[in-house]
Amino acid sequence: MEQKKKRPTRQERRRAFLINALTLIVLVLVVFEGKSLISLFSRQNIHERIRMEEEEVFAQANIPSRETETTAERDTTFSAPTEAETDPPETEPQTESWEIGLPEGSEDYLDCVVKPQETSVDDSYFQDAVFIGDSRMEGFRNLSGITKGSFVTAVGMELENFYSEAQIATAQGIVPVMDALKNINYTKIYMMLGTNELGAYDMNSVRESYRKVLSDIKTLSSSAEPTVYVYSVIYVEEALVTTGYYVNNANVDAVNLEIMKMCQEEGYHYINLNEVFSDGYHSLVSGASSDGVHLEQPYCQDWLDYTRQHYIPEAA
Amino acid sequence: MKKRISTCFAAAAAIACVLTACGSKGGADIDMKKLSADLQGTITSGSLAEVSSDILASTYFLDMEKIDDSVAALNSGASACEVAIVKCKDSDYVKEAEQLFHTRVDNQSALFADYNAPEVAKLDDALIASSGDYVVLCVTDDPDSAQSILKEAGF
Repeated sequence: MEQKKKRPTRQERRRAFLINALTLIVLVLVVFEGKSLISLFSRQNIHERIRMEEEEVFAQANIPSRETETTAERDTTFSAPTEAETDPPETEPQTESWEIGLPEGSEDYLDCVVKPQETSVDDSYFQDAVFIGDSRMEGFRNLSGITKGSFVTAVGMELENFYSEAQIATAQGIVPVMDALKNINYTKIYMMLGTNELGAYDMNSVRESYRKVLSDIKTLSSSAEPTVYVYSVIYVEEALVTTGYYVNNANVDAVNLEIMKMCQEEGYHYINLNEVFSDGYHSLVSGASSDGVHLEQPYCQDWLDYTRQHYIPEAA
Repeated sequence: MKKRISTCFAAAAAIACVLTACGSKGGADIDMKKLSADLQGTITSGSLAEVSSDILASTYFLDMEKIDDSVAALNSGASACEVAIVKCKDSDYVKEAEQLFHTRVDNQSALFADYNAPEVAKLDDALIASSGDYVVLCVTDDPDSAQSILKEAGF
């Protein structure tokens, strides 16, 4: 005899209803939030996704996104412009990536800005280089992972005390910068000063002092024509700065403009670090520094990567 | 009988203690990485990062031929805080390494005096100590805690 099919109890019906409802919710989530779920399990982080979606929206609306002003994301890669990117624009002039972070009014001095090379150098390029600078350069020495090159750095180094103060620690004691340089063979000069000059009343005098200092440093080089690279003063994060009101980004732009003028006039090469450290609004990218001025290790590593890619190829 | 056994145990323990120098004074191995990390934990003004032995050598002017192992963590230039630990190959070099650390502290004090005077107080309280073949330098925001860590590590 065929067994009579048992009618589900009320409790079983309720359970079945719950299972169906849950299944429906899951299906809705999968269908409508699929992209989110995919990204959740993908390697892309949420910031990257937001950036990509932002770009999509801006591209559709034909509006330049904030990212056209900055490449300050931590995962920035310093790729050389492709042929397509360097083609002359048909409509409006576009900002090249290496122009990001340059001060206003620098249009006449762009020739001195070092452009990215397709191939990065390795650290052997720095074998005959000397890096001279203040505490920011000292942080670069300590934290970037650079393995070659000589460093003549001191906290508080500035143009004003460049000749007058003994400030370089050597095995023989503390000596003036110029004395420390006498014991080093170098044909490339990487220089970074200017942060401690941000309170200067006369930026023209900063330019002239910088010019004199570099001219004297060149005379101690083992090459008659050393290659001179001058780093931009890196932006600061003003909200974190406690060392003085004058340590601000308007002054950073002002001193950088003078440095660019000097580079253009003297045939020096200006390395625009703010291409990677600008947040797009003439300020240091947030999170790069604990005190608003000195860069943390990952950013010092970016600084080294940038330096490896921005150089003047030696003539064949 | 029980008393004799207890005496033997006590004697054995005493001998073992003498042979191992009752601590690290005789050169027991120290976990330098852990000690460095513990000391860095007492630093609150910015973070430190470990540097290569080349940077360590050129910072302290150590003769690396005489160094068996080393670890150093330096800062971004924002403060005077730092940690350096070296294990000398020979105990003869311990005093010299200690002196080089003292020179480093003196130089930093002179440089920070004009630039960032509050850091000089940290340098005044810098800890430089040795134990066996190990020498340590620690400039920190919390020298009391760092001192306790060093004491526990046998310094």
